[in-house]
This record gives sequence, C-alpha cells and structure tokens, in this order.
Amino acid sequence: MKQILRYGLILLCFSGLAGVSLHGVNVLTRERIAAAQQRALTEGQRQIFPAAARFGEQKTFPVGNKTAQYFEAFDTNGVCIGYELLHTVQGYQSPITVLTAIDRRGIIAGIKILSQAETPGLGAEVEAVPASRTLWQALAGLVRRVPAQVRPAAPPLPPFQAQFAGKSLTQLRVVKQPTRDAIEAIAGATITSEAVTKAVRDAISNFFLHVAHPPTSEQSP
Amino acid sequence: MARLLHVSSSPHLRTSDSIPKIMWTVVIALLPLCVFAVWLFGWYAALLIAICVATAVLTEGLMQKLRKQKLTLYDGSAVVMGILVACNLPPGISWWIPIIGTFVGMAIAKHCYGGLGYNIFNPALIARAFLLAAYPKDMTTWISPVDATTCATPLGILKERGPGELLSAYGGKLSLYKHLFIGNIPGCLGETSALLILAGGVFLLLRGIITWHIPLSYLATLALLTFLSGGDPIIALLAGGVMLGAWFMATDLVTSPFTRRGQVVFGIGCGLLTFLIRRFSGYPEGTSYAILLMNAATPLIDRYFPNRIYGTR
Amino acid sequence: MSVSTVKEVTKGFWEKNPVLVLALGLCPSLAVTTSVRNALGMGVSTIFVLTLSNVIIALIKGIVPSQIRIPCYIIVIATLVTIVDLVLAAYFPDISKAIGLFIKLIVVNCIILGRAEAFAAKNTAWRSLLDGIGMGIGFMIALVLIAAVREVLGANKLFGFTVFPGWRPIAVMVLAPGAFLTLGFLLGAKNLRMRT
Repeated sequence: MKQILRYGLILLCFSGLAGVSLHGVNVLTRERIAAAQQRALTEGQRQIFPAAARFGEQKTFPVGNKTAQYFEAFDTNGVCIGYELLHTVQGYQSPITVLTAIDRRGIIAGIKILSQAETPGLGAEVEAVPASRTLWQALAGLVRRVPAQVRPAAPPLPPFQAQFAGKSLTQLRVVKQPTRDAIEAIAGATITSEAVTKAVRDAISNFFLHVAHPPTSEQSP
Repeated sequence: MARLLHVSSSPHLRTSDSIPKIMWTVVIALLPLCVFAVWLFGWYAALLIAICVATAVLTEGLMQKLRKQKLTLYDGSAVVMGILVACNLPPGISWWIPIIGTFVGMAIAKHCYGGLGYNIFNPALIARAFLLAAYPKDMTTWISPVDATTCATPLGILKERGPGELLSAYGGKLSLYKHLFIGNIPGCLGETSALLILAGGVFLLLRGIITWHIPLSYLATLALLTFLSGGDPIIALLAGGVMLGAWFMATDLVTSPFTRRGQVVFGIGCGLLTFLIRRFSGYPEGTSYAILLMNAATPLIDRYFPNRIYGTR
Repeated sequence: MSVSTVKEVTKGFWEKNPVLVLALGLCPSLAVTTSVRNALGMGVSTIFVLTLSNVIIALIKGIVPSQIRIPCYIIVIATLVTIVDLVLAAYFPDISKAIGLFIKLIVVNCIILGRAEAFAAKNTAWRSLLDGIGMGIGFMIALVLIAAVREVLGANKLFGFTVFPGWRPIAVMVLAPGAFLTLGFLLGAKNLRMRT
C-alpha cells in the first residue's frame, strides 16, 4: 500500500513537471502558431480569388446541428463580389478541408485544399504540383544562379485544384477521362477526388440554401 | 531440424513427368490463346507476348547466375510465366511496362523466395498485381477489338452502368453470351475467349497435368454465389479473367494444395473471394487478387487437409 | 575526444544502425519515407527527441523505481514530442504541415523507448547524449536511404525535382508495398555485407 502511494506520488511529480513545461511552451508558441495559420489562410484566400482586394471577418451559419464558416470578398471599392466557403469532408483516410471561392452567381473562382492526410502518391496527389525543373537542371542551377525575377512569387495551384476554376455547381461531378465540363479524377484515387468535389458541392449548395439566395441565371441549380 | 525439412512433402510417388515436359505441355495449351490474341488485337499483341517471354527468360537466367545456380532456361517455366503475364495485360499497354512487371514477378516473387518450387505466390499474378498498383490507369485502359478505340470491358460496363446497359451494348442476351464465349470482346490479351481457354484446359486435363478439382470448384462456387445474389452466372463465368485464372493460374502446381480435398477448398476460396471482390469492391474484376490471397492460404490448407498416410485411416 | 567517445557516436551510423541492424523504429521508417524531405524532417525531429530523452532518462534513472520506469519514460518522451510539435508548428509551418502527423508518432517510436531501456537507463548522461546523437543520425541515414529509393522509383523525383524527364514512375513504390520492398532489399544488402 505504501509502495503504491510512493509510486503514485512519483508519477504525479513527473506528470506535474511535464504539464508545467508544456504550458510554458504553449504560451510561448501559441501566438506564432495562430499567426502562421492565419497567414496560410490569407495567402490561400488571395491565391484562389485574385479579383478580390480584401476579405471580411469569418462569418458562420448553421447547417443542421453544425455551423459552417465563410468569408465575404470585396473589390477595391468595397463592393462584395463573392464569397469564400470553408467545408470539411471525410476523404479516403483523413478529413479534407477545402476553401472554395465563388462569385455572386455561384461560379467557382478557385479552390484550395487547406489540410488533408491522404495516401501519398495517390490521394495526396490532389495537392501535387508538377516539378518545374529536373534534378539535373537544379544541380546545374547550383552553379548558375537562377535570377530572382524568374522565380514565381507563389507556388502554382495543383492541376487537380486548378480545374475547378470557372465551373458551376452542375459541372461538379467526377469522371475518369480528361474533360472540360466535369472534374477529372486522379488516377487510382477516385475516392479522394470524389471527396474533394463533394466538399465543394456541399459548401456551395449549403451556402445558397442557408445564406444567399441563388441568383436567377440558368446556370444555377 | 533444418536437415529434416529438406525432405519434400508427400506424395513421394515417382512419375514419368519431368518439369520440362509439364511446362512445354502448358505452353502448347496456351498457344491458341496467343494466336487468337494476335488475330483479335493485331501484331502489337505478338510484340507484347514476345517482350514478356524474353524478359522472363533473361531475368530467370540473370537471377540463376546471381544465385550461382544451374541455368534451367530450357525447362520452359520462364516461358510459361512470360506468356501468362502477357495474357494478363491490356492489349494497348506501352511496351516497356510489361518489362518492369515481368522482372518484378520473376526476380522478387519467384527467385527471392528460392526459385521454382519454393515460391508462395504465382509469379505471373504478382507481376499483374504489381503493375495494377504501379500503373493503374494503363492497366485499366482497354481497346475495342473492332475499331481500336478505348472502351470498357463487359465487367466494367456491368460494374459502372448495370446489367441492362451491358445487354443493350451487345444486342441481347444470346448475342452477349456468344461474344463472351467466342471472345471478340475487349479485355486482357489472353482472357477474352472462353472457348479457347476451355479447350486448353481440357487438353491439360487429358494430359494429366492438372486435375478437375480446382477449376470446377472455383467456377461452381462463383456461379452459385452469383446466382444466389441475383446476378447472371453465365456472364460471371464467361466475362473477365476467371476462366483463364481457374484453368491456368489457380492450378499452378507450386502454389496450390497437394491433396484433392485441399484443392477443392482452394477452389471454393478462390470462387468466394472473386465473388466478393466483384460484388462489393471498387474493382470490376477480382480473379488475380482472389488467387493470390488463396496462394497465401495454401500452406494452411495443406496443414488441415494432409495426405492420408498410407496404411492408416 | 577519446576514441571510445567517437565510437559511441559513430556506432549507430552503420554497424549498429537502429533500423537496418537493430530493426528498431520500423513503423516510421515505412510511413514517412515517401520523400527525402519528409525523411530529413522526421530524422531531425527524432535526433532532437532521442538525444534529450536519453539525457533526461540517464539523469533521472536514480530516482525512478524500476517498477514504474516505463510510464515515467513515456511521460518524458511524450512531453518532448509535444514540445517539438508545437515549435515546428510555430516556426516551420511548412515542415509541420508535411510531417506533423508523424511527429506525434515519435512517442510510440520504439527507438526512443528502446534506447532509453537498453542504454540510457544503464549509462551516464554524457554517454547517453552521445548514443542519442549517433542513433538519431543512424536512424536518419536509414530513413533518407529508403526515401531516396522510393522517391526516385515511385515519384520520379528527388528533393521535389524531376529525375528522368519523360519517364512515368512506378507509383506503387511510394505506397506501403514499396516501403516494405525497399526496406527488405536494404536489410538484405546490409546482411550480405555483414556476412562477407
């Protein structure tokens, strides 16, 4: 009995020390982590909606028993020209969070996958960007410096995500062939491709159902 | 202990069959399929078969050299493996992809496990499974034997669009059965003609290379399960690779059980798995995975269905 | 530095390599080796955690009763891993995004507990420090080796650059089977070298 108390006390001391040190690190890093996440979000927002000059604060609306988040996008005159919608779905093996930018008619300006942990080489290819240079060019580039102005400012959007731009809700279905008016699945990763497309579809239809009224153009559902 | 294990498992009966004789008989049984594939899909099919056979033979030679073993290139086992890999390829695949697959099948699935007689898995099926995982798009792009455009296999249509579409695509039930039986349909090089596979299988049966236990229990299980689940058992048997698998790959002497009872269990397992994969997975066809999984179960089957020791009950 | 000091560090690089010889930490060596970048990130994080945990455990080994040493070690290791996770997220968000999931797995990486049990609990803090650095570097070497093979064969890339323009890679090599194949052949090659 005495032994058990002693062991328990020792473990308590260790746990207490661990807790105190973790609290310290958490206090030190909390703000930087929040700032880094905010920066990643802002960069993503601008990348997929180049026409917008600034974005509003995060707003929420209820969907069933959950809440969905969105941001308003404004042009230089402060006129609302569209929205960016956050939506998370279950992918093949991980939750996938997608940011979808739409204009006021519901046409997609662009999408960006903010987080996912799908199978490397298959599902994770939704975030893959084809290499711009070969290894040999890069090795040669160590000798000859590439001029700074040649380098792009932001990394290009992955081809899978780029194909959403310009599409409307009715075109959001997944096919396996190259196409212009649907989404082409990543080879061998149909489930992840479907999940991303579903995230975009649900985000838009939820938004028009609960927040904005669908515009009266024939392309809307 | 190690010395004891050198004794091969029963039966220790002597027969006049040698490895070359068995293997070259299998090659003869496979030849009609190859000729039909060339007639159906053109000379490119002949090139693919030649590439697979050449890669298999060269890899076998290389591995035997590396492992400092006697070269056995004339026993025909590499030729059989090469032809079977080719039979499992879509006819329009890029010529260099089969080289990778055949090399992996021969070097890893056969020689890393100890060579002929020691491999757990059928090397030709490992080659197919590896390529299916490595180049999923190439391995599932089919060309039509009529006009060489890309199209879907009968099982692909069945999976994606349902049985009604399949019937209308081939103009009615009888016409569909006839197409599937003769084999002028899209599919892997050697899997399309049920007629020629049956002919080859019966030839092997008559020559005593294989017995009826695995093919019949395999096909009967698949047909019964398909019928019970409301599908068409004739389509299930004739379409896809199950004929080729049941007669030529599940019957591989090395990777299937020794005893008759074990072989029936093996066949039933293959049929059950093929049915489950076709019915419930994302793949239209499951023959190769079904046989590979049962290959893995073979040692277990041999353990639970051993030979009766002579003189006991 | 004496010869034995150098030896304590370098033994883990190759002849007692944690992955290829001691077969420790196989789970992360299979999971994170899809690219050399991920392997380096995981390697550096592991070196940090392993060195610190070795030192701390060598220091506290006198005051921890042996019956509850495992929970104590786990608390120390879990705390260190969480610190690494937070620091990466704060200062290196890109790397954190790529390998954040695996960082949390360091807690159950048997290298850390394995070295704590097998070495740090029996040796001085100084020698445990050297052992942690050496074993960590050896772990990273193995990870980078596996990742280089898999990234080149499976994605036709190295450090994100295309290796053979125009060649379509063997996608299965960046998947789980490719990890097992690569690890198997590396273990085989290492055993072949040790035997001769």
